[in-house]
Amino acid sequence: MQNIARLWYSSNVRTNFYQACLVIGIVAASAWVIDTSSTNLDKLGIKTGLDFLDTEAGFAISQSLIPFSDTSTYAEALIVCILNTVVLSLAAIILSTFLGFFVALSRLSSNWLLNKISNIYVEIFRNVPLLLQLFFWYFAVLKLLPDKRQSVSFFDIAFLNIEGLVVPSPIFGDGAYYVVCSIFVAILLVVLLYYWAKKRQENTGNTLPVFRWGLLILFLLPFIVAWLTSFPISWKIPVFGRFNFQGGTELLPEFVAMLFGLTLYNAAFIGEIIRAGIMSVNKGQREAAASIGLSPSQIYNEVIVPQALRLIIPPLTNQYLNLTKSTALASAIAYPDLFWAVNGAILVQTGQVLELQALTLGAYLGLSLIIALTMNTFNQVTRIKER
Amino acid sequence: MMTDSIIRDHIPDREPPIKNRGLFGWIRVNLFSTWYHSIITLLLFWAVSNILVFLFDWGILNAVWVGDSAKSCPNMEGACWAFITDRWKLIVYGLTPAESHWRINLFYALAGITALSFVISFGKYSSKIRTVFFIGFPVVSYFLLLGGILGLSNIEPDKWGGLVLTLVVACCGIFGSIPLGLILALGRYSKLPVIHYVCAGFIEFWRGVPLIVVIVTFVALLPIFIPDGAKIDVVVRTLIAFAVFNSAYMAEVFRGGLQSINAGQFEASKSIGLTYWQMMGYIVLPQAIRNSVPALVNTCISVFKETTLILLIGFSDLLGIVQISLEDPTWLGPPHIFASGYTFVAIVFFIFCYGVSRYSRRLENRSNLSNEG
Repeated sequence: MQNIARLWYSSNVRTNFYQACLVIGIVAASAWVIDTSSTNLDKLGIKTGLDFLDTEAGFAISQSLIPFSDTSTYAEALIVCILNTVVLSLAAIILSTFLGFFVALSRLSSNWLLNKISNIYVEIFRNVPLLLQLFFWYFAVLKLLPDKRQSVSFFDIAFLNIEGLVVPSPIFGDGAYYVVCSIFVAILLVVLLYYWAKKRQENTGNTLPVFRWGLLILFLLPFIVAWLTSFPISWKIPVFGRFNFQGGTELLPEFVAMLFGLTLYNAAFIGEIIRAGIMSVNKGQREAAASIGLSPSQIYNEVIVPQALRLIIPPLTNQYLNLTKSTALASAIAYPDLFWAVNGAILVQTGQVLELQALTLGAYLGLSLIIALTMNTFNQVTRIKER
Repeated sequence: MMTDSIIRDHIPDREPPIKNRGLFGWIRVNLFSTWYHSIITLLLFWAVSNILVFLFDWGILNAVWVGDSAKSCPNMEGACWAFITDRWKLIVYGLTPAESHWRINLFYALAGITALSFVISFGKYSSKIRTVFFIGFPVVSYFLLLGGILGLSNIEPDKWGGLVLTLVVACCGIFGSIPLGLILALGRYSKLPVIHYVCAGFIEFWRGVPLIVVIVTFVALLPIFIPDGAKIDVVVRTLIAFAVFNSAYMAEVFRGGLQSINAGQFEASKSIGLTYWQMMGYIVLPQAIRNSVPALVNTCISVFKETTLILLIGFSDLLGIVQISLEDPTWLGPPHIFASGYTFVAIVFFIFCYGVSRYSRRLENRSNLSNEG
């Protein structure tokens, strides 16, 4: 008896006992859930298994990046809709980051009016639910737009009307392959240049205007390649024909509303994240950098931004994750995203609620994981290496 | 002979340069400091004045205030507040029977007083009074809204709607997720590997998926996972989904608070022989929770905004009831009626969320001051 008591007072034994209890509890709960769900599924007569993925879906999807027809399978429908989610998230991430950057600049500006207006923008868009904003853009603003004949024209290049946004589409001619390749080569060259210049600076102390040189390479190289292959990429600008637009790509009004709503909502948050990051850099850093004779752009690039990025990237990652997850609201205005597909047509036709919910949860988890991993890699690169 | 090298006389402060003085000086420094600032200022001034004039015309001058259908607001140039004044009872009380409206009013009043009790200081009784409200408000509201005791008639949860439902879901999400989140945060902070990984996995799983998917999963799958699960009311299933989902976010908030505690606090409490729960309860958590209050309030704001999602599974919360009314044949009309409805809901949400965020900022400033002092 005394031995047992002594065992119980050993923290090692006790902690292992608690942990074993937790494991047993979880296993027991899972077993119970699996047991009840299998009896419940039998009772409700719901089929199980993933066989349905290979059967014909038989419904149309209004936006698909890969060929999709009535005869495609459920698996293909899911892929189309996942791609739609990815496209919407990517576009919104890029646009909201740009807008957020400008919001942060305005919030940091010494211009009183600019400062106050951006503050009002941030407060309004942060404190109103996203779904409400999406409804506002879709049901109230987009419905105010004229029909195709009286489209709002942006410099005769893009046209906005009640049926969506028509934008120019690229046409790839012979040799376009080389131009696309040259863009990647140029990006690679700029990266190499950056590292080379850094090494050179560490060894010799001489600096290179990397930004200007990089910009030059980035534009000149593809331009020369395009010139040599006699400009194989051209833009087909939409023109209104008799009944419809000829040429160009038509973006769904749902896509436009989602993009607009997501961008404006998230830019308010991203702006505040960037501002907080820059503000958090100690004032002494700026003054010290100025006193050793760095130019204003050097102060920003070499002193402020590296320190601010360290504080900006973790919350920015969170914001990107939130944005990607909030694309699920697209189903509210019938944009064909992943959640729309799984919860709408596929669920109604197959009734396999268990597998479909698992697939949805898995797909969103996968997307979140990809973003988190990408941003973590970026974070590792920008992190200040402390000796 | 020694000369005094230190000047002890106070040199009078010099006035700021004449250019920077007074109203014109202020305008010069803050609006027209350089040529590009001048251009930005003028452009913004033009844009803002146009927007303000438009909003005044649209929202007040040309607005229609009374009416009973979409026909009362044919004019796109003005807002259609008639829609709100016509449907305000639905928006405020939902579908609850008229004889129990006083209970809803009492609920609103209680919610307001509870909120006030956190803003106003009562001296040394502050924390006691706040605790009473924090615990008393949910209990009293439960009986006020559901009835069933003291001769109050029963109200079915599916009769709730409008602002009531929004507040109920928000309160349940907040009050349910805080304790669960605290337990999860402690688990994740634990050194025992099994407990740590189970809690971390649970938190990261819910943080990786969208709330609407979680709600649908709970509504659709609870009947399958639990015997007689179909008997659990849909409202309750949604509330469980809200509490579970937000507990993951609350856990991260509390983890931030726990991490802000100095390691010396843990070591000191262990060295005077406190057990784990004594250490947490008396030393660590009081500090950790105080440190995490601003982040906690921000999470509460997002919970409140997220309540709008329940309209996607067919509930009529504040936004839901406006949306249903807008699509109702009586009020189905041109887009400006939609715009008026949404503007009204936006103003309500803005007042709540902005008010609470100001409160959180005040708390933050106050705790910064007390840390410095």
